[in-house]
Amino acid sequence: MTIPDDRIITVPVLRQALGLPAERPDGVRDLLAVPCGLGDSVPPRDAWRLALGDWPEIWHQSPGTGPVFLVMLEGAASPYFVATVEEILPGRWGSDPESPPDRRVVPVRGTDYAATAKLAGCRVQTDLTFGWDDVGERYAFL
Amino acid sequence: MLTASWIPPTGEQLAVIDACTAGGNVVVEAGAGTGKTSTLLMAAIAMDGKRGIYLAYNRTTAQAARKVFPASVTCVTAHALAYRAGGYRYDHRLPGRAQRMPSWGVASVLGIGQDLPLGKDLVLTRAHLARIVMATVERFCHSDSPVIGAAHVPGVRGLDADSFAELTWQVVPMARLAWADIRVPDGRLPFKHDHYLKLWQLNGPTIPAAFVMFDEAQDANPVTAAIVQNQHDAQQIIVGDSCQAIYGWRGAQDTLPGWPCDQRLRLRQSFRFGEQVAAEANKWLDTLDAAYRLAGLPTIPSTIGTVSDPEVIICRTNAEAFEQARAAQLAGRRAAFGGGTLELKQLAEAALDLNTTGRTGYAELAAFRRWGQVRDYVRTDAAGADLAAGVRLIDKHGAAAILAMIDQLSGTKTAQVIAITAHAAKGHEWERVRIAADFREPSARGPVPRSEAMLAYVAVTRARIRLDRSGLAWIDTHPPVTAKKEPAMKTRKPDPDDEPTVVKDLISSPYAGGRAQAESGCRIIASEYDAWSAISTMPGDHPKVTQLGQVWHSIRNRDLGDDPGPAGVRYRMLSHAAAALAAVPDLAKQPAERAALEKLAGHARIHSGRLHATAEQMFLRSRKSGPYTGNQAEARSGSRIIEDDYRAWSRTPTASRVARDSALSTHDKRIRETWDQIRSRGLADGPSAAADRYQDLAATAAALADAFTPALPSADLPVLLNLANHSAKHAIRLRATADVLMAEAPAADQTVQAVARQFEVPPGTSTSARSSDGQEGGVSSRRLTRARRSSQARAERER
Repeated sequence: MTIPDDRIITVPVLRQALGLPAERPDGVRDLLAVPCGLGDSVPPRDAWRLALGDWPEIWHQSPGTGPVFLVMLEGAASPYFVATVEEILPGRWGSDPESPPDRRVVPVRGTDYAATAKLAGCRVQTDLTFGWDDVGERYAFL
Repeated sequence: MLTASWIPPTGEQLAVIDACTAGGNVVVEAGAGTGKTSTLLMAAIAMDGKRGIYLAYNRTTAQAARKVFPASVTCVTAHALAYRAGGYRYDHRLPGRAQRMPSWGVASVLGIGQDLPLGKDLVLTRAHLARIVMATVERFCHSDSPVIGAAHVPGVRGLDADSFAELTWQVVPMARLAWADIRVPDGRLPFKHDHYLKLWQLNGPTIPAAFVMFDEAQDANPVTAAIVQNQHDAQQIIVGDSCQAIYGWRGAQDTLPGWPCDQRLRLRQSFRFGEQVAAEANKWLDTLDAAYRLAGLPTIPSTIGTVSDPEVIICRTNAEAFEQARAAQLAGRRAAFGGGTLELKQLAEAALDLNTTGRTGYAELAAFRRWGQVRDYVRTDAAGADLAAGVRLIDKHGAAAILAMIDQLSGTKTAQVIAITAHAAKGHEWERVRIAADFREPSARGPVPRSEAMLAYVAVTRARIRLDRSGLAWIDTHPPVTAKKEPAMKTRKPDPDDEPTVVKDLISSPYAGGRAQAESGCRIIASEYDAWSAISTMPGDHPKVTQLGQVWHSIRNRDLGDDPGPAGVRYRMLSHAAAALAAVPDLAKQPAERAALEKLAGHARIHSGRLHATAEQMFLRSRKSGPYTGNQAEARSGSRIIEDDYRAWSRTPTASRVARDSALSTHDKRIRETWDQIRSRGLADGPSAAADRYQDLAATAAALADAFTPALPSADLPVLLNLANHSAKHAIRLRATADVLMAEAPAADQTVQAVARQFEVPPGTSTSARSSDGQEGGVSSRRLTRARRSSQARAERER
């Protein structure tokens, strides 16, 4: 997948750049997006805890339906810029049954995914907003 | 009884052994006394030392099996495996080690702060709601489901379908919260043995064995069956008897008929009793319309008739068993109560303590201060059902008398007679058996309930030599009707087909559990959409189907990624689109599909309302709901957003249709009139009066959205809802601004006119200018805080 010279990409292009189908198949939530403020440092990679409720159990039962990438979008509102992409270990979804529903662990591999090098800084065209109250509640499936 | 017989195997047994050694998955339907344990033992030996697991139904059976099976076979219960795998971490919270928590305590932990009104005149108390939540968790733990859903909510007597739907809507998220607490080792809610079994199943465990022998599969809960069925690397040898499935009342499901396997075999030759007892057992198999009949062993001289000195008296209920033991004791025989006396003794001692001191050392009942509280707990709380028989006995005879009786009872090994229930007698055998009289014939001489017929079958097949069947003799004269099939559980299982048609009342409470709770609402809607899709008969190119599909596509694309406000609007569209499709005349002949759509519409509407309430709550708590700090200039920008919204709405073809529609034109007229007022007055007469006008506009737009007919396109609904939502927010901010100005005005000038004059600031005032006294745009931060609090309080009151 070629990134346009102006580095403005749509969500389908972002997905394809990560090797995912351009459009999210029914019942699949394979790309998890979280926002961060412009200039924020990237949070520690072992501390992704989101208000996922019991999604992790469902994804553990059906590994093909859960997120495999976490993309961090920089910006308080649209436009967003890709900050980093992390690979998720799908087999470890639900490995934190004792966590409260609003602090479920996202089992990231802990290293930037290879595609980060070409995607970082790209502007993502979307009218998405992340308006939930708590930081852990601000996520979306792209 | 688990014994190893070394009689040469019958042809049926040889077939089972051969199938086991062949390596495929095997299901064996084994009648009472047909030597299934001996057969399994022979099969285990024939499997040449392979490491295996014999999964027993209860601890007693597992212990007995350990004495006869070779060392290569580990005999355990599923609970024991789960306990070793992690259940031990919850040791301190298990029954007997932790205090029992009454339902009001559960309600407190779950944050259930209010009673729940249902329908017009029914109110569920907090405690009742908590009981339903915990019962939902129990049903989930018995199931093989990955998450708690609507199907786990138990039926409630006296609720109609609509009210039950509302209840389900409330209970499922609470049950998920409860489960989140339960699964944490230091959680506060009561923890049961079934909970760690469920946690183990959810982890997808692998049992390290070449084969798994799963006994009494007809009485396994789906959770245990799922664990065994997922052992793809181990050979599955499943044994049971569908005619002895006597634990359906507590969630067990007979999985034998549908168990996937390579071979399905039967054992019909009984080694326990002779032909007369077999004939008696076959009467009950006739009643059950069973697929097999038993053959008695001709060499055993079994007879039917009076037994004056029974070894065992099999009763239907615990209370009768205790009475029989007491009667035998009074008659001078050494009697034992087969149900076990330890718990009854502790309960009686607790009753004495509570009645005399108001305290008891019995840890489980430490939360109670009077015996009457225990009685109420047992009577009204499902969690106390296991104590019910004991409490009744104590109330009938008195605690002191019960204790005296227990002291005089013998142990089962030394007793001359044992009184026992049919449930407890399963898996055992005795020489001389009498059936007690509390197995009642159905009053209307209609079909025998299937569960009762199975219990009778279990009872009569416990005898080896002599059976006194007096308590079940009525089967000879009872009309020969096949036992009625009944639901697996006594509690009502919600049937998707009989759930509500339209949910009447919008529940507009915000999602207190935040996004995690809202996600569960989305999950319910998704399952209902899927349920409709699965049965849809409408052509895909029908305009209303297309409309619903488009709305669903927008929801699926976004989930809850946006603010709850926009998400709420999308679900409102979904509700409208589903209702519009349900109203299509073509669906008149498809009641199931129409009902599914109406259910989807109703729940989407509730979900939308709750998301809207969540967004509103977030708005009120945020800085965004404060006064316009830039005075009129900033307030005007708010007004411009509303103007854009109004123009967007008025440009839609739907607005014109509404104006011509006799049913809706009144709404249209009110919106226009309100808008005319806003346009002519603007903000000139002060923020308070302007706030009233924008509030009116919000209300009229919301009323039209409520009245949106199925004929109108769902796609135009968001335009109208945006107008309503933005107007409401604008009104809140204008009121907050008015509050600030009012607070600052001298007492003598506190008139609307004075406020209006202050609100109109000279042109050119910078919105970001900070004055020397710390004010921002003329309003200090202290005043901002005060105004925000004031506006929040007012909005909460109004809402």
